[in-house]
Amino acid sequence: MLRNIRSRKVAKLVFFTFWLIAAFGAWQHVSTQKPWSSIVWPPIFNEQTQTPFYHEALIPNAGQGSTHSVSAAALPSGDLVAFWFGGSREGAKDVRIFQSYFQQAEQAWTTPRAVLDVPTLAAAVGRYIGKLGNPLVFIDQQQRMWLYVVSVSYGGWAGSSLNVMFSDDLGQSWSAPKKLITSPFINVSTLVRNTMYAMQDGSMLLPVYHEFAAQFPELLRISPEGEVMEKVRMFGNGGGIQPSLAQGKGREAYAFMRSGSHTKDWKVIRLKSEDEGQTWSDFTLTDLPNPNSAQVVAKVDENLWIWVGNHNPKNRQDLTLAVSHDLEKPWQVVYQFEHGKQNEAYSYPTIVQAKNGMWHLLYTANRKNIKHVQFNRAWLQQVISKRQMP
Amino acid sequence: MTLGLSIFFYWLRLAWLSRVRPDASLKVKVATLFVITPLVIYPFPYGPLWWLRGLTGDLSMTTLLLLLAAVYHQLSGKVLIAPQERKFILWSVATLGFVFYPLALGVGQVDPYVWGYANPYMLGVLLGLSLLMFLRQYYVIASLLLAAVLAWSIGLLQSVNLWDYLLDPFIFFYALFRLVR
Repeated sequence: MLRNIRSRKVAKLVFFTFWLIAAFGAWQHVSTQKPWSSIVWPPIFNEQTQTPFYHEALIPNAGQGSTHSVSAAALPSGDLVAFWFGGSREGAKDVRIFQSYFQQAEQAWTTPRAVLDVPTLAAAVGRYIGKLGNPLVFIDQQQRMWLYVVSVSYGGWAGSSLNVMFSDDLGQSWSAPKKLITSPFINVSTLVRNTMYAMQDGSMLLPVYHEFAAQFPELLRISPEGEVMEKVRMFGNGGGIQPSLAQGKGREAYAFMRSGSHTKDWKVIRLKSEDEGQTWSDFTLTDLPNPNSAQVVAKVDENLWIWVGNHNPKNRQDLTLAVSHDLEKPWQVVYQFEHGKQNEAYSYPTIVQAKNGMWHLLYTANRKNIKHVQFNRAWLQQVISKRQMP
Repeated sequence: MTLGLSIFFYWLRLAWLSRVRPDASLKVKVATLFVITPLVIYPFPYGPLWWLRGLTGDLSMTTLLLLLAAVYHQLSGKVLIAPQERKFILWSVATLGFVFYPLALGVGQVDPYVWGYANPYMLGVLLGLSLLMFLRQYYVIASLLLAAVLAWSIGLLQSVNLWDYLLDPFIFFYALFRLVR
């Protein structure tokens, strides 16, 4: 009897001790949480040249049967770095993530080299990996290069999760990949496509999207160490996927989404945020048709934004440039980079501005190559003027 | 942290042993766990843990502790969780999962998963519930809630989200299955 009372007292003491430890740990976590910060939009570099410049080339193929989903970033030197996935076909086990540098002075891409493959990732994250998907590169304010890579263990792309690796020497060497846990249901499904943004407090804002059971855009707030700090659901099912963010005329942020397959409208979707991306509203179907294909928006100056994507509701044969002087008004098509034939496809554009003001557009050309188009502000002005002429 | 999956394999092994050799002694049971330990303790490539982890990820603290209780039951024959409390746990997990998973997977605009990132209200509710359950003598459920918060605060699993310590689809489907059966 006495022993029973004594053991109950000990059990109570143990429970309350651990309860206090847990409460202290919880309080520590809560007190170190940083409030939502403001987005550091990428600087816009002005170029003085009045001569229009336009040039297109293919990045050398490293022998892969299929290449897709390029992501690029401007280096502090003014050069570019690009990543994409390539292998015998999309979703194959031999798909690897390739990296190549564009040297402005030589106007040439380096021979692509593989930086990640399935066995390396599987060993690093301690689990079976079936395939690799979209990469996303970003260079933060400390010149640290971030590389996100989508991977799937079993099933299709809806079963994706994210992995991240870092480079402190601008892509020469990489840390071991780390898996991010971003979803409560066996960690499916979070994917990346368009670039992320730094925030004033050193954290990052990563646009992601969900595809399992429902399709919707999300944002992850990531700590400087690469941990998830917060998650924002931008819209519910049918809100589109692959958000591309752009700053409006003031501090407001806009997100443009690929239509996704959970729609009958086949149009680019737009959302707006008045509080630096913390909440989103104003769901709008834009006048930009979209065949459930990747698209991207970039701010050129305080009065001009460009959009690149497939400007039709059915296929990926064209790759079109449209401009807007106000993100809430209709877009104007000004140029077609590609007008392919049947069975041709041009897709997954990404836009980067280098330090010299040159705009670089990279995209998948027929799943065989990554194509690189350079144009300057004078060329852009020229195509806009031509389109506006009666 | 693959401890949850390792314990699942231990439980599976013991459950199989109790079927083929119901009279196996404690020594035999412990020995059989030692035999499978090299295979299930670390996710080396092509090992059973490596394959399974690709599908499941890491298990929540709730599942891990309930699996531990199941392993203890298999080894000793003693029941750690009283039937009334067991039912209460199953109902709680099933109800929570029934509301939580559809919302987290995209039904509507509210995503409860975001509350798992150091939300003071969620932490307060869990710690308060844990205390309340302990005082109401639901010791197991109180320990499960407390273990989830403790493990989260020291970052025991790969996730930084408190929900991943509290709940996973496997314990949810198990609870549904047991209640329906």
